[in-house]
Amino acid sequence: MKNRTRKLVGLVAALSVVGSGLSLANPASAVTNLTIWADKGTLDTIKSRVQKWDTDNAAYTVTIVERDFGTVREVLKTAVPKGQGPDILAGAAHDWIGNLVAANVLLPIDANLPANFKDDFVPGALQAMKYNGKYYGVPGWTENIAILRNIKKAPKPAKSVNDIKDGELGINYDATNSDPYHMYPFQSMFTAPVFKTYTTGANKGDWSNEVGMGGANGAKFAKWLATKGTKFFGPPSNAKILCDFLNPTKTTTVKGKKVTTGAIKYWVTGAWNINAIESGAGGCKTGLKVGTGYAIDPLPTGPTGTKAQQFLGIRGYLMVASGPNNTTNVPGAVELMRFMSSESTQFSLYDNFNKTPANKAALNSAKANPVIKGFADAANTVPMPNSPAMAAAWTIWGKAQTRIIQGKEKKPDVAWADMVKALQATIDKTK
Amino acid sequence: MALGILKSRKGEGPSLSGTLWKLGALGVTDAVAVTMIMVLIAQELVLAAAISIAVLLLVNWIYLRKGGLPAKYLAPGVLFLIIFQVYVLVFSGYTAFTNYGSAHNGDKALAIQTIKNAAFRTVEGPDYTIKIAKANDDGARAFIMTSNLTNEVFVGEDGKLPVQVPEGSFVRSTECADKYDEDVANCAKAAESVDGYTTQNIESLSQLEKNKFASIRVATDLTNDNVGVRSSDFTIAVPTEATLKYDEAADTFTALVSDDYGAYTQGDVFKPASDGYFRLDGVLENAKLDGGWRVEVGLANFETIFTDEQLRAPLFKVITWTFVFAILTVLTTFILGLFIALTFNSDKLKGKKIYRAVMILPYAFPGFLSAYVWVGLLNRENGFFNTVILGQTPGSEGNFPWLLEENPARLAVLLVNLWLGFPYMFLITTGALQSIPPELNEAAEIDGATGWQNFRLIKLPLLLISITPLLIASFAYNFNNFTIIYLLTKGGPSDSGITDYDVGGTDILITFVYKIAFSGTGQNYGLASAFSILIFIVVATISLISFKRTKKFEEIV
Repeated sequence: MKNRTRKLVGLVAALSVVGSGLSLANPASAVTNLTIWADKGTLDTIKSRVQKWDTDNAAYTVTIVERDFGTVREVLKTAVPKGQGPDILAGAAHDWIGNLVAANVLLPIDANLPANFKDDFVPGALQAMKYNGKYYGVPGWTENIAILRNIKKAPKPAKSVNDIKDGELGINYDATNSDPYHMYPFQSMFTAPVFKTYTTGANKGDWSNEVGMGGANGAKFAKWLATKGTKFFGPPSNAKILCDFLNPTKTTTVKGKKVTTGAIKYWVTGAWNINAIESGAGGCKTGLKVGTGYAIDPLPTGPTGTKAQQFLGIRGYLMVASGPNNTTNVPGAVELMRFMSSESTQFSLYDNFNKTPANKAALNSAKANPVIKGFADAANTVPMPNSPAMAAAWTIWGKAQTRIIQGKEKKPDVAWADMVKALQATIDKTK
Repeated sequence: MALGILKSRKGEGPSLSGTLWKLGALGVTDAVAVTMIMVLIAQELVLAAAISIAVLLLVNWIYLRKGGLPAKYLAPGVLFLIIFQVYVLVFSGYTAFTNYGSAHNGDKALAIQTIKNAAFRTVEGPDYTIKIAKANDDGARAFIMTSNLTNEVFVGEDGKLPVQVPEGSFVRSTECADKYDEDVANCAKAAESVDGYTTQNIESLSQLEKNKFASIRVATDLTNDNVGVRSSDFTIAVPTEATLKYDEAADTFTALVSDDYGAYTQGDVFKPASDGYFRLDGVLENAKLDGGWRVEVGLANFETIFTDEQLRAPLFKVITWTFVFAILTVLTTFILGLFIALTFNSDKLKGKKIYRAVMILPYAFPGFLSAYVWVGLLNRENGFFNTVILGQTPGSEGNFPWLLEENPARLAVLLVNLWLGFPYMFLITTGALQSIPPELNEAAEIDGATGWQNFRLIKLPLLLISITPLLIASFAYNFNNFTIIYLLTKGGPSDSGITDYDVGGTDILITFVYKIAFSGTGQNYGLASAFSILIFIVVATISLISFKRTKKFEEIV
């Protein structure tokens, strides 16, 4: 074969391949595609309701993509500038909002919410979705902690924290990073709020950027933590607390050493552990029933009688900014978000997945369930702060608590003051 | 034979089958490249598209022309080297001089868009459930607005006050205005259509049309152009007020009103500042608007490394531990590997092959797997080490905290790395030992040297000549041994005093840098890149000095 013919064959071949490449670029479909990112657990929870909305709204097709929420914030921050973000981030904790807003990721939806929408939710729930005066999402379900009590071991609620003896309290905290979320009720007993609140202006009552847990009250709390130590705050493993809480007190001898199990009478935890308690998981075969086996009590008061507060955590649907062409997807995304925050959806999520509704009407119906009622009645909540520095705050704050509990700080009050200083420095960096 | 026909005679250039293969491969490559280029053009990435076209042409030229054989062999390698090595190096080098990170994650256009998105506030006044429509006479775009407060119906056009529609001139929908109100019998119902207007179907509108509807502002106060009823979702319209105005020519944001939250006061001008924010008058210390972009910051990241007081203590600790970790790892694995190699090199030992094979096992296992197994073995409550070897009570909190406290965790990391690393040292020392001529050994024995003298004065120096470069390589590798640290302890326990950097007891430089770049507490890619440059300098310097020394050593021997 001559060279020219060979080249011609090549050209034809190449052109035909190019042609098939061209046909890949098909025209856009008439249906608007909406994308939701959700964590594995959340995906199962919201799936059927999202599918219902999808079926009811022919103009939209919704895709739920599973994302690991451990790393989803980093992914979002790189995806959104490239126009590859989703429309909605579902099941996100509301304390992410400030951090994501500062990273150009979220879109405010104030202008998409009718005025009366704001009355649909329990106090604090919609406020939690607000950052710098704007709403960036709608509430999905609420989470708060209370104190669970094994009725057989402790027939009466602990009124004061002084009523709880060493070894009787179960609290989840990770031995390295602690858990300021679960520890906050104890901190609030000393009137040491994490941030100061604005006292005047439109944002009156909102958290400010000034750390409020320093000063004399913070020092008192730090010293109290140190005296309580690991004897009071422990043990750290969740599975162990469960068994210990469920089982009657028993002393056995293992390899010549006396080991006491079942000493835990009280457990500071949230509704997410109720299933495990009622069915008995992790080697503890028998569960307890609410009302007869265990009770849900309000948190005890502090050593000096101060009422404890816990954080209100909101899992919500956040509106992700999708670049300059917001008009394409925003209408559908807003519709879907309102559907997910409606009474019927929130009741359905309670009914099927035990999620405490943020929607007032749905919550009232759900209160027929003693567990939901118990947690709602035990609530004396403040919304978790959602400033951009929150992610860093949890780490520094928790680290200081752990070191103090474990007795690693000889002067707990000084360590606490150092932590407040370091935290304020981190927050000021974002100014 | 079919193959024989396809093959051309010698001396007539490439065979036909070869040419067809070549054209096929080139065709597939071209097809993929052309698709990619079309996507790039569709996304208006001009530079990327231009580079791709140039590369595509170059590749075709290399393979279609006659001759130039070396280029044909080298082209794919060079191309992938550029993409996966050179580009990555240049990019992280460049990133070190920028503030790329959580709040500076995009270009300026994105930041401007973010600020514009939030440049409004809701104001007092009724909100409406709306339909979008066009006037039948002049085609003007309008909202058919039903007040959520009074249920009255209005028509609103851009820049004009809403006009109430009298009863009978509009038709109400049969569905609830609030779609999620389930009381269909008693709920408020919004107007669906108004006489003189044609209701538009949102879904069938083009993007351009949607944008035009989205820019409608129905006036509520003819003296104030900033206030009006707007809608971005075409279902609900809310009275809002513009708070900031972007001036494209001057590249500034001007505050139209005073912010309720005290972020700015009316008349404030925000200009781009050198740190990638719009700041009041463009001055660094002043207040900023939320929405940052990536800018070059010169040596600021390096300055942070050397001057940040919060960073000083943890960094010093991390650097010390990195050196300790790398040096001890090399030493322990070398000593153990050498010891075993010497033992197994003995002629008297039987079944050497089996022993050697067993010794290789830790090296043959994937490191990821071993690390996870070790995490389980070292578990405080129920791990094998505590319950079986140390005989502690299963499930007890008082057991030895292998991975949970700083010094035990450091010991654990070194132990696991010894387990993973000694087979390698064993392998290379075995090889090196076998290459030492047995005559030297015999000569030493005849001269009356003891076994120790023989080892210290004859074998070790000879070994070190061939092994030192490998030891240096091992040091450099362990200096950046991210895998083992991250899989075993994630750098933890996070117990290194109180600082606003997330640093743990076993963090080496590279895991520390990883945390700065990717951990949830606010990514800072710029600072992390600056760190990696410094790490590179450290490792390169140490390696260079060591290699030079080896050379001298070689000359002496």
